[in-house]
Amino acid sequence: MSYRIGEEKLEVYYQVSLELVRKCGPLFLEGFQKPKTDYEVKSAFYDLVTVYDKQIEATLTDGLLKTFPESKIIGEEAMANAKTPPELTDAPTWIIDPIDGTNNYVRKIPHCCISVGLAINKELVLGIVYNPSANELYSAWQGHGAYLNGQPIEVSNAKKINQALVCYEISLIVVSKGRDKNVKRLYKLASSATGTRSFGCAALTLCYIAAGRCDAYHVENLKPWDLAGGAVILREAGGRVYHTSGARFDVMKPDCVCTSSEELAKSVIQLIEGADQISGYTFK
Amino acid sequence: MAGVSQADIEELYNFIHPLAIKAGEILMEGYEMASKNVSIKGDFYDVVTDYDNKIEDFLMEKILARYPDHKFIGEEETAKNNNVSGELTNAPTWIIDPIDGTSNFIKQIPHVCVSIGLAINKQIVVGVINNPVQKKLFTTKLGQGAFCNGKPIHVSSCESVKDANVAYEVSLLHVHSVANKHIKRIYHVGLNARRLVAYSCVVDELCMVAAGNLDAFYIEDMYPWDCAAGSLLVKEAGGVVTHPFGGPFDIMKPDLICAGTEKLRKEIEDLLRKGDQEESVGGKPVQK
Repeated sequence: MSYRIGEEKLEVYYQVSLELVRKCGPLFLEGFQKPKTDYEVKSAFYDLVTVYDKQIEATLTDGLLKTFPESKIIGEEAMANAKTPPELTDAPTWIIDPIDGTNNYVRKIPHCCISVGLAINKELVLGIVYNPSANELYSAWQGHGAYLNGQPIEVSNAKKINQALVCYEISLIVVSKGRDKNVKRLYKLASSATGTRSFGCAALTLCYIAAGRCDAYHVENLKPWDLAGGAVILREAGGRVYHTSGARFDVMKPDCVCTSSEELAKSVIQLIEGADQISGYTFK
Repeated sequence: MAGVSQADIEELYNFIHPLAIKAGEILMEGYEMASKNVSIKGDFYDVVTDYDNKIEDFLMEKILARYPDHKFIGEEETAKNNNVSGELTNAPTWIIDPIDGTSNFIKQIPHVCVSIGLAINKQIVVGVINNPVQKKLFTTKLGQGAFCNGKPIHVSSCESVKDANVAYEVSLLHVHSVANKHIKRIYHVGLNARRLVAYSCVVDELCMVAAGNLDAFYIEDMYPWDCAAGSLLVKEAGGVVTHPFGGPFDIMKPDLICAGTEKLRKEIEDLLRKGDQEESVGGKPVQK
């Protein structure tokens, strides 16, 4: 079946989810600010993050299902033990990452956030990305623009790669199956761009493009919850989100090219195609 | 001249501390204004130059009023006078970067710092670094530890690159004369590290190693003002700072690896050397 959701209902979804995400701010900060000496043992480090991940996700999930019992949830923690990949149906579906940028969170680097996206009829219609460590709350719903702490944001004017600040997850080099591809793509993009950053948090990187701080981003092998919230915010800010091949973006297989403009998206996609054709690399 | 005493260091530190706070306020004024010129490219860079100069002029004026014989090594040289020096002598010398991370400043990316280092007898003895966007004031005096907002900071204890979060200035790939060298090094460090990040603010990345947010940082082809204050901060936080291939760190040619531990630093050095031994990643020339 197909769901017909009116504007009024969509706004209710927005207001309720926005308030729930905001409510998780203090809990998020509690974990972020926890003194290092409280958990010297490394395994305890990550066990602690799991605690906050689970608590935040439970707060969001319980709150959303209570108000919108007809909706579904695809959440990072809920999926952690799932045996099958999540399936997106036409039902209103909240796609939740309670802490995106976990490594930054653990190390108190202020590029980490709560990310919530809503899809209806398999289309992303709402996104909220909240970084309490920098006091930044990004939000957007379809047709109503994108906002940072209530103020409108829009993408930059960058249309050419040589004036663009590109973001890339360099750490993907570590993944052996993507190593050669990622090295070549990084080389092509970074040598063509005016600057390159790697923040280690996909949701925020999309928001930084939405706010005009950065201009382009390419990443693969992430999960739907890494990108769902940020993708809506970027689109509502005037940006573009494509599959790496240039095809339509699929949040359930979110390999992507995200940019401030259509022209820049084409340039990035062409550079990636060029990188993929480079031969002469061999890897041990 | 005579050796510097702890009392002298204390006096100089107490003098510069409030000025670094004021400099941070000037930086924030420009940082918040930058977005208002977002659609006019020329104004972007006018804003940066304006605030770079404003901060440097403010600091130099205050320092010279109190210490007229001190010297300066700094990024901006609009205030060309007898006190600006191209070389480091034994004289007390302030090594200042009014805005480190100018490309971040333009874009409101929160890695922007005012960095103030003081060298006496060619040794850094005081460092004060203000990251006002993140509300962090880093301070250090020779032999007296490293602090952030008054609280002691310490490097991480990470000893193995496989567990390490490493910062690498990937933007250097944009400089074609060194792109091949860096893609090979990035490949080997990235392949072995737990994570690579890139923030394009050398001063902040040094602070993040000092505070244990990152485990290591490698950089080349920077300037004295990028590294002066931060290098002392890392050492006072218990970390190591060396030339990339293990020799002593030279403030006037500040290529460096800094890390929380010597073991980690050595592993990164070895990976850089390994990268340099290849013609290209995998052994064949990188195509353009």
